[in-house]
Amino acid sequence: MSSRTQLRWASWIVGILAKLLGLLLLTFLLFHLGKVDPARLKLGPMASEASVARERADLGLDRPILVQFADFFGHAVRGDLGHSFRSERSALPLAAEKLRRTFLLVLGGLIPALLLSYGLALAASVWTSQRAYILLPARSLAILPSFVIAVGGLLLLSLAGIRLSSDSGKWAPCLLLALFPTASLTLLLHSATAVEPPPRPWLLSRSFGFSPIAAFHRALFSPVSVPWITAWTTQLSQAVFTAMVLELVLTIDGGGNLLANAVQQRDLPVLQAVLLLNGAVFLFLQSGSSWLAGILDPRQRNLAPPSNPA
Amino acid sequence: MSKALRVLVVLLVIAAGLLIWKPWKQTAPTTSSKTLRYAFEVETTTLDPSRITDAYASRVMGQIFEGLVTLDEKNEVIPCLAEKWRSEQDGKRWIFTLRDGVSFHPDPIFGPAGTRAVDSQDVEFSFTRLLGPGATSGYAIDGVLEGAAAFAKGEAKKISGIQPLSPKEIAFDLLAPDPLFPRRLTSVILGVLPREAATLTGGKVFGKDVISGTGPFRVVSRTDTAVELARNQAYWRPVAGNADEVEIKVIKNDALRLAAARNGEVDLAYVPLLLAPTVAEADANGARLKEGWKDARLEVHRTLNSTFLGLNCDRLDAPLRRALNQAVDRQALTKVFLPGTVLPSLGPVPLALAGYKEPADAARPPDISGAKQSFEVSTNRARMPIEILVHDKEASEQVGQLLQAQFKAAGLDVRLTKLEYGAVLQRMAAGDYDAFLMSFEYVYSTPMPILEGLLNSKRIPSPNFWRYRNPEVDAALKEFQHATTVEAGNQLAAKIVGMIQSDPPAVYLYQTLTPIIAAGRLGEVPVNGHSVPMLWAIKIK
Repeated sequence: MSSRTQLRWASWIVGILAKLLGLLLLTFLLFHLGKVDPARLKLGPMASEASVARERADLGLDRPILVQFADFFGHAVRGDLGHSFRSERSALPLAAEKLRRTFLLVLGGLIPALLLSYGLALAASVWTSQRAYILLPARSLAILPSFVIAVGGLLLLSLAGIRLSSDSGKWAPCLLLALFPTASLTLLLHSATAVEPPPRPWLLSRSFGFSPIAAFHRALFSPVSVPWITAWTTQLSQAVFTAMVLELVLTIDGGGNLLANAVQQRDLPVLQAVLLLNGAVFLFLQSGSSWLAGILDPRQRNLAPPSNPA
Repeated sequence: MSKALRVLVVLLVIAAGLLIWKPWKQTAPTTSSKTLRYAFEVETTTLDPSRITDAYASRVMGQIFEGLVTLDEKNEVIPCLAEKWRSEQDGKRWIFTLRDGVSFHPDPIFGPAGTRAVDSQDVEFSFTRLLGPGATSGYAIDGVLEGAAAFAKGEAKKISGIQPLSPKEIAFDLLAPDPLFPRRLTSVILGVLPREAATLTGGKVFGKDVISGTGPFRVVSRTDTAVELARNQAYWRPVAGNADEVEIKVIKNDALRLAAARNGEVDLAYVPLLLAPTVAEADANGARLKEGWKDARLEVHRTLNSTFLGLNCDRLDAPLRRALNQAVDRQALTKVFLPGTVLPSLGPVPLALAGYKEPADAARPPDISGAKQSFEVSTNRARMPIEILVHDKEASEQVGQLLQAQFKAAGLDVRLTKLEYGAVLQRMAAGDYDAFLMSFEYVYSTPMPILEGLLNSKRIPSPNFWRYRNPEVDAALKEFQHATTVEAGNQLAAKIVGMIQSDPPAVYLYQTLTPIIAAGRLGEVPVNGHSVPMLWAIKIK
């Protein structure tokens, strides 16, 4: 590996770590700026001041703020974000366990969205005379925010008498999560491959005698499809937010519930663990998206992380 | 009409038809006829009685754990794990005798035998755990037992006031005589746990990974959103009910929970008080579910709670507090709720306590002229408007708005500040408020600890949040040491409640009853004052 590549890798890694540290610092400061005492909140109104003071000491909240941060940071670099103020479980594994469910839910919505958007865009480019009807649902849904569609869909399903609960399977939340991304990605991919006038890669492919399907796929793997790739990463962040809202409504035992409880209960270790893991996932995905964009579009190659670490 | 529009119209017509026909309509899943399905409001993150952080958790724990005594559905104190007790030194020492034949639910923590009998060391362990690190329910016995303060500070390794005398006898030495001490012990917070809970290995946590009590149901599985219980076949007493299993499903969203009850997916669901008028109606014959509810009924039960407007006695003088108390129309406040689910009250002592009666009629009309006269002599008139802190729970904001209008009619200017519940709690504890609206669920089934905690000047700042100082009330509270019967205790409580009307630390408003939706396949659902549904006593048809 050349020294230039090594330098680029190192700066990429340092950049991600710096962002994560900034996230932790911000959360820590915001928590301590708030005036709610987690110890009092945990013990309730009837607890004596002495027992609240003891609890505060047990949680380490009676120390100076700089000492608390130094102690916290010292443990955080070793992967220990402390224990939940409420459940006494180690915060990082707890957050990882719950967020795993959230991300599974998200993938359960986004992967079908990816496949559906590919199918709909392909159909729209092949059956050009029916294009308006194929794209009609996508055009209708894409104008609304993702979580509005999800919650609205939830309401409709509920009114229709469809059972919605955490143990009735995840099909309903996944379906609701998939709606907006499908619409948005379909329109993006369609614009990259088969709008009027068609993009140059498509035109060139057709002029060389490729079939509409082949031309579609040649355009798919050209620089014009980079916005579609980038949009998939953006959809991920929206889908995570929507998934968390659905978890709260449907009492699905995932990261959304954990985050909401941590905020309400001022459970700082869990709050930081959730934000850190979420942040780490998004930062890596963002980097991956930039890397893929660099492969598809050489003009963006220098902006991406090194593609050949060997 | 364009072709696209015609297609859209056709699609909409098809969608409307499907919504009417509903071919996907799911029927409620079949389940064993002896399985009781209970929709629960909050996550079941822990089933450890010493780690309770909300009032709801005891409804599940009450099926699994038991204490020395308990409450029945009439809120009478009855023996439980203790079959008898006696007092010495005029109520300063209490000795409980445990009954024979009580074993913990089977669990590997008991070794090859799988279980063992409850003994006095388990009782000592359970009480000590309440005051140990990580416990959230210690207030139930805080300031009661000798040696508890030293233990809590880490100055002693055990609580000297708890002494196992033999495997079946245990003694409690109190800081002050309490002739009615057993009545303090009815909450499931004081449930008896196995002492093996202190030495769990492998990262296991009691209440999450290991749950073993003595109750009529044992835990088969637990997650944060569901608990499965099975009947304890070795339970020490016969039970009237016939439920073999209980499926507790967490449905936090109130609308979804009520929808599940309506669709017959669950057999039992508590109804949030503010939503009760949407599902039920009331007349002279009582409250019942509205039309559209098939094979379900509404039951209303009395529990131990109080809702009040807390007043900061350091900021508001007695005449102003008296004026606020006189200006309130408690009967009008109850109209926010379903008739029959709220009772006006003058004091903190629960009306649901057996034999207790308030000293006056709380539903009396407000005394507007009296309020104006009291306000005239107040030295705090320049403080107006008074700030009332309200939050997002228990109709706090709605009641606050009604109070604002009532106070205005008496010339008392108040403004509402809405905060998050935790923020109100924080300001309450710090004394940084004029007034706040709050509801308490009590873990005691006797008046003394309630009044002692809320009114004794030695309990400032917590739980005497209002910084109340009244030497006459302090002296009256000491008389509880000589109230040797329930009737004497109730009469003394009524006297103290009467005393605080002219110098109120808080304007006590009302107490709520608990509405429950029960499926038609269930017999009557007994509920005790701690809001614990006695699932073991329910007959499934």
